[in-house]
Amino acid sequence: MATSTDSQPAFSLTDPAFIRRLESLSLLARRVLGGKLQANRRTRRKGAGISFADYAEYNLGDDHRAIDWRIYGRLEHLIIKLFEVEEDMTLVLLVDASRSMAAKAEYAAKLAAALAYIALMGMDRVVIYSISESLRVVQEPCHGKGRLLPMLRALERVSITGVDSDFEACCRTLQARHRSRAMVVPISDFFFPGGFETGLSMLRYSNHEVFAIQVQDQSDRVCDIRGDADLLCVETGHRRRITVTPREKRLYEAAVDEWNRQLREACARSGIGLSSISTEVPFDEVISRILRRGGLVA
Amino acid sequence: MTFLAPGFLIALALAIPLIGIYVLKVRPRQVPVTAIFLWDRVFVEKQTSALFRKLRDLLSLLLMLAALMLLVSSAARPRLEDADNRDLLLLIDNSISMSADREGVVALEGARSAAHDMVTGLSTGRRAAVASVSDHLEFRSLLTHDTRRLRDAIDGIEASDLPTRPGVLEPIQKADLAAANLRVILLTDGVGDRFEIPEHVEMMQLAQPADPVDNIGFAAADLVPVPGAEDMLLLFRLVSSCEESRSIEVALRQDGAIVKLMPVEVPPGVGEPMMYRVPGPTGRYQLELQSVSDALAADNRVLLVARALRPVNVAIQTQGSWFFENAVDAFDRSAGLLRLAREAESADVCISFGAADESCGAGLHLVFAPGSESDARIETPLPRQLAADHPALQFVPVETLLFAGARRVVAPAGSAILARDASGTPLIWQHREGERVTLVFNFDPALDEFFLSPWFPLIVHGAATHLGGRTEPVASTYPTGSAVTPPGAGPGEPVTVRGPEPVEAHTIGVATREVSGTLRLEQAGYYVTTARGGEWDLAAAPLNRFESSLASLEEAEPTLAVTRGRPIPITLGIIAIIVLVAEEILYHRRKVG
Repeated sequence: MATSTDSQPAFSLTDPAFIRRLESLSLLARRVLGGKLQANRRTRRKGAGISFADYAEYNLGDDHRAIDWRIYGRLEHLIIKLFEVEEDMTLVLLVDASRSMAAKAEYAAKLAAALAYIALMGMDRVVIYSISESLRVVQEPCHGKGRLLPMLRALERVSITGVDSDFEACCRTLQARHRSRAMVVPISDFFFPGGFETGLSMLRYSNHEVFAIQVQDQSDRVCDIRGDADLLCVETGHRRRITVTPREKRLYEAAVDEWNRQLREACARSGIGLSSISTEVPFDEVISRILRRGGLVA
Repeated sequence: MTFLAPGFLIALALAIPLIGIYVLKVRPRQVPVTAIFLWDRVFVEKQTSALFRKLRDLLSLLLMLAALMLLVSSAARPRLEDADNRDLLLLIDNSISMSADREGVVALEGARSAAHDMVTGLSTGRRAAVASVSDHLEFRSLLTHDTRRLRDAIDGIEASDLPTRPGVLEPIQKADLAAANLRVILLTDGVGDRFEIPEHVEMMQLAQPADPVDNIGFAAADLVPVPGAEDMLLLFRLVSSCEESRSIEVALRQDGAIVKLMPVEVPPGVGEPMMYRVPGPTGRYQLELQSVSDALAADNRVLLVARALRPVNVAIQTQGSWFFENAVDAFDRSAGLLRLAREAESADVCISFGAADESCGAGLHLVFAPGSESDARIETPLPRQLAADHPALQFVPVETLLFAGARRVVAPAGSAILARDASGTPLIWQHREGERVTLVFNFDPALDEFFLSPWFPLIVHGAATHLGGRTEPVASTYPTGSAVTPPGAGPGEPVTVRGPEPVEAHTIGVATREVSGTLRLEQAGYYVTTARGGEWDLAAAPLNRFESSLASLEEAEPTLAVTRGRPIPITLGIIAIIVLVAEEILYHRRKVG
């Protein structure tokens, strides 16, 4: 199980080779999306900025620095230049740190690191939380390249914890903390006993852009148990003695497929982008695929 | 119930480690899962199956303990206290009637099946032997524990064409069964000629007299030439087990073609002899019941050989021929057995004095007064017969003859001495040299008026028929089981026999089980014998009125207390294996699902 403690991370995200891979992804993001994680975040709101938008007649109170003096020289009329306002985007990463993610924690952390890296390179703000039975801060809001290493170290120290994941409670906490619009990316296997639909809806209707990344491995999807087994829930410690025949194996795999189908339908209904991935696929290939598809858009 | 090996019961203590091992074995492995709530959805199960799963481990342990107990009990060789511990001798009747189809039930098959059951039921330590009974007792397996050998012996007993014979079980009767700790069970339909069951032999009767079946068969048949005519006389006798008279047809066939078709009325029981004159050449014939479907098919057909009279041609090449000629003529007139040959070249047997005449065509010589005048005479010979019942001497009291004129001569090397003087001088001997056979009587029949003795023609007759291979008359057919001396057979006289399938060609009279050249006709069919005197066709058919009547002479006890089924140890072992298989299924389900 890839757990970590404060003193000794179970995996390293500050390894130079890993950072080089993140740089490659960042370059790809710049080429494909112009450096932004999202393809188009410009608003129609005019104001202070660096990108020219339009001219307008000067009114009292307008910023006199915006007056176009060359036009005044020719026309003796005060005209000001309007610039598009470029909003700061906040990328909120919700990394599932429940015990069910133990085997997938490193993979999820690398995905989060890649997305955070691209965001920081694009001068976006990044916040990272871990979700389990409650929402925990992993990385306070930060932006700028200078926050890269602290952010990676914070991700390394994400500890697998919790006794019973509560996705809805975590989303409710996030809703309270982030009232302004943000791009929220939950990275999880979405095996929440209480369900995921309410939590996702809560995020979507808090005016956030939401893009869900579902991470599952082979053991999640395929049952390799035969005969008598004493099942132990890694999160709750709950036990169950069962006998697995080929029939039960088929039923379990069908139940997993049904669960994933419900996730896809819930995301589609709420206009949430979803990428279901397997840990067998390298994380940078997953990120590349997301970027080439247009970024984190539904 | 007692145990023959109770020491094995100590092995029951193995139950303690077994329980310990089992408790460890059934503990399921722990499997951490990420989504147990999905498994909860899968296992929305009925209460009964949940209960079964809970009880399964306990059931499995109980099965293991039961299997252990059964195996230990089996090893301890339990047996019922009142069980019979005697060895078994199973006598299976395989006579003709045992192959009768009694409304779909064939007694021989029932006998084999019952014998198999008894072999299966042999308890530990008991042995069994198997023998077939018809006109003789033939052991197929000696006393053995080997059930496979016993089964093979039982399966090897096929239906025979032989009838039962009175006294066939005498060897059993004479045996001390109690001392041998032997129980003898005869499996039979009870059909046969004076079928007597010895006192200590238990009979399991496989066909009850209360269930009669219809059968018509030949009890006797003959086909003989009519003297002085070209026709032949056909004689036969039928036997019927039917309750009423039946009208049937009997056909005489030769080479498949019907020579004569005879409508006959067959009364119940043994019918009167029927005689018909039939035209036709000599050769092989078949006498058959036409369109009769009855219980026993074997007795519906008789094979016959019609043969012309074949006298032994005798040439007289000696003094006193008048007496010899009269002797030969006498047997020519009565039965046409001997005939006087005018030429030695065409004779079968030549009679001479002193020495054999080389001109004799067949090379068979009867010589009197051997030797020469220089050989000393024996004054008062004291004859002693060495070959009792020799066919050449069967009607002659050798030891009362005077042997007048006998000389002290020496028989050629390799001769068979049939009689000799007290001094050792041979008086009668037979010498074979290639195809040439010489029978020598060392006396002069011209002396002491022996020509007038009643033994003189008998000596001529006996010697000529013996040399000519006609010692016994040859019948047109023989009942199966008959012991026949083929023409030309005798001590030291080999006879080659070709029998019906599957009888292989063999030679009797030299080193076979037939004594003194006697041929037992055990199977119905044609036999061809080749010996001195030529080639002869013989026929054998199942002619036996007792067998064909299918009448059981005795009614056995309705039930015979015989242990059948598998012995207790084997049964316990089989149950243990079944229990282990059941437990293995449960184990497999636990481990593999």
